[in-house]
Amino acid sequence: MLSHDEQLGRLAATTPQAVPAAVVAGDPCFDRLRASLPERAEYRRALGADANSTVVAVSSTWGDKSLIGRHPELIGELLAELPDDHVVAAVLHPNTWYAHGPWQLRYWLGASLRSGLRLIPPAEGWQQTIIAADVTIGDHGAVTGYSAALRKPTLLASFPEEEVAAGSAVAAVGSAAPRLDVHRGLADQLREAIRRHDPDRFGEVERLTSSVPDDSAQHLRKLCYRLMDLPEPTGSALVPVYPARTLVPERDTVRAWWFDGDWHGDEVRLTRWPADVHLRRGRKPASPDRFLVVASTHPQRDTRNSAAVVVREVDAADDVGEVLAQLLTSFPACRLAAARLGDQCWMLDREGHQLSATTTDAVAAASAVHAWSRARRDWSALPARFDLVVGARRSTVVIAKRDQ
Amino acid sequence: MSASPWVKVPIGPDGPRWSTVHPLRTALVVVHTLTAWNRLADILPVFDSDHRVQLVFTFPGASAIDSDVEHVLHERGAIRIDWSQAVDTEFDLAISVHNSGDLHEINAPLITLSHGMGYTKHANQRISESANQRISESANQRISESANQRISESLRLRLVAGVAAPGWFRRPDGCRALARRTARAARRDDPAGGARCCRGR
Repeated sequence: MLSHDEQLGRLAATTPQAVPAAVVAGDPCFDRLRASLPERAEYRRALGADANSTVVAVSSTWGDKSLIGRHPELIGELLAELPDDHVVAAVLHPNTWYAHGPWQLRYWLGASLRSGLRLIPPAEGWQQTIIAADVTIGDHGAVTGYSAALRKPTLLASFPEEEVAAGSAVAAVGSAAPRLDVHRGLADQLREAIRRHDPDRFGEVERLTSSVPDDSAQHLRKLCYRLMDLPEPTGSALVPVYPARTLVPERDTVRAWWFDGDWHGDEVRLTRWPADVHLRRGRKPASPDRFLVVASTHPQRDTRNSAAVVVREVDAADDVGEVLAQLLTSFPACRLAAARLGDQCWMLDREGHQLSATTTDAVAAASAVHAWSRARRDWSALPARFDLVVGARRSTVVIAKRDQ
Repeated sequence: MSASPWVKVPIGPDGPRWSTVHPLRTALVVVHTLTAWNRLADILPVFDSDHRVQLVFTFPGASAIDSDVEHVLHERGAIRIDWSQAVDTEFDLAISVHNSGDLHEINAPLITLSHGMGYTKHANQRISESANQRISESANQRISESANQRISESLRLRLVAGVAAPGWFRRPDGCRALARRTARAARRDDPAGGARCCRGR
């Protein structure tokens, strides 16, 4: 069974004796993808992204010419460069998972997972991910191809033309898709790819993906039942929407962040990047003044010991004052210690200033307070209620009590 | 990876005795890899809610990378049969989304489909390179001539690029198809009939 008449031509050219057996019946996966497009918001939620997030899907087929084969560090470099209002989701070919073993793959991606990577399991979830994405970075594999066939912004980080059949849908991806230059700033290229995207760029890819768009199941069922010599069931064949519940990305806890930002009246605007991954060698951080914030449980000593802000989860039974004092003693570079319990957060700095606050983002709230002190602002002038803006997310922090 | 035991229900001569539902047709689904399983999820809904059709699954063990697909099939509760039983049994239909392995041994009209976005990679070049390599390795190791013959047969099969249909399927009026039709007609009179065992086990 072929998905497009174009393949019939290639088959006739190479293996004419097979042509009588060939049936063109479209692409059942593409049809399900198209039927699933209205579920995009659900898929984004399943990835932990909201309307303000930029979802970047990284798709790699297998082998040494695949995206991961060519650029094994690209996922980490993307995470290092993109502020955390970006959600990066990796879709890797099952051959990559199982050639090395899922355990090994997760270990190789350890720093990326600790930096917020959503690793899509090999069995299912990739279709939902490319629908959820604002932009896909890929290669000559089918996942990247389907992203382009859906006319979504799609960039190529690897494309070995010699492996791709001329005239195929994937060859059309190679002709139409812009290339990602891993030596240049990645964030700028992604922004441009989204901003300047013209869906018609991939019209030819879409056209070559199926000769009978939205109708594959009908053709396929007709063929199956004819071969079984059985009348077809009544009603049309199913084209199931991909369920959001089967998009279950693997994630780890993020425990280290770079922060930078400024206060503007009662509002603080911060940018946050994950800190367990590294920029490509030679690239400079977007902000040279950023400071390091860690959870007290971060696994790397150097990272723990160079953090300006340390955050610890506490229990209701803990003596918070003691916990905070202990953090300042244990972490040599720590200027501000914070303890979190639910939406309550307590802070103590090295000068002895203390406060308690209500916030949904204790890590960012502590960073905001550190940014205030770092700018040598007067502690007593710290607003009792302020707007905390991290990337595109806005919340309110209320300071309940403060000493000094 | 352990081999599945010889399955007695729902296929084979004892199948009808233990069956609750008596399907009119049995289809074999060949699941080479996890990639295949993912694509088959797009294809198998064409059989949704049809009690006339029983699907059984087999793992041909033809891929270089074992993607633990047998475990996945087991988890989903699919009836799995060993490849040796699969090729020893006649089915009314077989579906595969890979071309590799000894698909020509299957006793059923076979539909092969792409597991990617149509057929987009240069399989011929890669296969002939790897096959040449394998043949020369075989020669070095003085592997018997029959092994070389099998390699060249499997190479020939794969070069059919997605329509690895056995000869009799391309000639629907051939004697094999006639025999099938006769058998099927006989089975219609016997509602307990399912896919039969054709080599006497």
